[in-house]
Amino acid sequence: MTLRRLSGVLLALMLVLLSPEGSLAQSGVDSRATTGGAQTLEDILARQRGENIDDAFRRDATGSDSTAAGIAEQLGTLGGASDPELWRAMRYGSADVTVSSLGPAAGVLIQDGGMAWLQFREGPLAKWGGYLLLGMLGVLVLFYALRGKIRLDGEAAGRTIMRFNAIERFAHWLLAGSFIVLGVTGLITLFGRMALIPLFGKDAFSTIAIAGKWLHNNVAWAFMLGLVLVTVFWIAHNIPNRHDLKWLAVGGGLFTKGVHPPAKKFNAGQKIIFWSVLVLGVSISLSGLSLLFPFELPMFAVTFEKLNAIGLPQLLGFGELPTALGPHQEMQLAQLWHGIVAFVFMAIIIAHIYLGSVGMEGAFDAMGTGEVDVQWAKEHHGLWYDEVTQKDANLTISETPAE
Amino acid sequence: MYSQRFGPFPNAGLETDMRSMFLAFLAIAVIAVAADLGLDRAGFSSQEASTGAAVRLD
Repeated sequence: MTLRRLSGVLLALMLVLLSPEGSLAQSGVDSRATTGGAQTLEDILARQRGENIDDAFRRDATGSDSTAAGIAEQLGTLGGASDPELWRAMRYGSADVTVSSLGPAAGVLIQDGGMAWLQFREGPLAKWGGYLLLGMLGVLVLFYALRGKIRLDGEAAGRTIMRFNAIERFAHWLLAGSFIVLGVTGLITLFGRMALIPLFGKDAFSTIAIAGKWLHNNVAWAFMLGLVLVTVFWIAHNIPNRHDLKWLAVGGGLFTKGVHPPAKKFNAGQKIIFWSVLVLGVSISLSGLSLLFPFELPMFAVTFEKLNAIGLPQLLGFGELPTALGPHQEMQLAQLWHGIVAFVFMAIIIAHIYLGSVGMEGAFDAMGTGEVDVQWAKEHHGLWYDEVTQKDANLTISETPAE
Repeated sequence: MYSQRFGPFPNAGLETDMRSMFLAFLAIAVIAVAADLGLDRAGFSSQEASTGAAVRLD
């Protein structure tokens, strides 16, 4: 999965989300003169067809002293705005309201992005996200059935070599442990109403959901810390090199017994995992922070402005993305993006967990005890093994006093 | 660089070697509790972040 593909998903998502209220296309061709400026039958039919309409005739019709009928005339209103006009102003967020609550969203009394958000969340997000995870599990079961556990080709040496030291393993498990907690609680949040309430009932699910929310909100900090540590420790080892092409050309030897392409500390497959974790981890952390501090860290309008400036949405045929987003729209987009990234992230990590445990003999030792069998190191990370043993030999020679 | 694992107990010492993993899991719990208490005391609770002076919290 690449960033470009993810960007495409976001852009497609934006198109779906914004279609009911977008203002780019104009399908209403009827003159509104016949309706006194109100919406026409064509407007209604266009909305029912899911098409965009120009809603300026309603958005801007919020009343004013200059256009209102005199107070003594028929339909005259005190202050220049009728009740429908006041409601319309609230509906489109232009009413001058005073509220006791704090925060950027407190003054937004009506917003209509919620239904599009809910429908996408309960529809395509849950459906395709679920298919993605089940599909990955299916692929791994199939792979296991065809290939079986990838075992050592040679005899185990019985001697081990340190592959990851204690600090590296701590960072990995900080990231991994928190990821699993976040993944499980995230899935409970998305699928709980659908899958758990029928099993446990609403009362029990309420407790589960509250606990899941607490865990999700607070364990997130451990995830972000783990991401930083892992990046610092391993980014230098994950710079692509020419050996990666050889590794990829033979599928890493995963599909053929006896094939062991040379690799340093991390092979090309592990590098793909690393960079995926880094890119997706940063993205999901940013959207997560936006959700942790509601309405305080809006980032989609700013991002859309930058994307529009470089012309990416236009290049992909989506036109300019909206840059005037309300506070609730920002949160809705952050939540959906968080979910999309999470599903892709989980699918990749499921494959990583498989290969690091039941899928490959000796792989778990690397992150479990930190030590791997010498034969395993030679087969899977031959160049790294040579480097480490050569360095060790040089150290031994340099420390030997001259005769 | 090398360590030996002989005999019928090739994973002897596994429990102590895996302390990094268990420490990391413990750290997750500690960080989560600290984050919850810390943010709450720093004024980031929902009630403090979203209520004005006209609202009585306690």
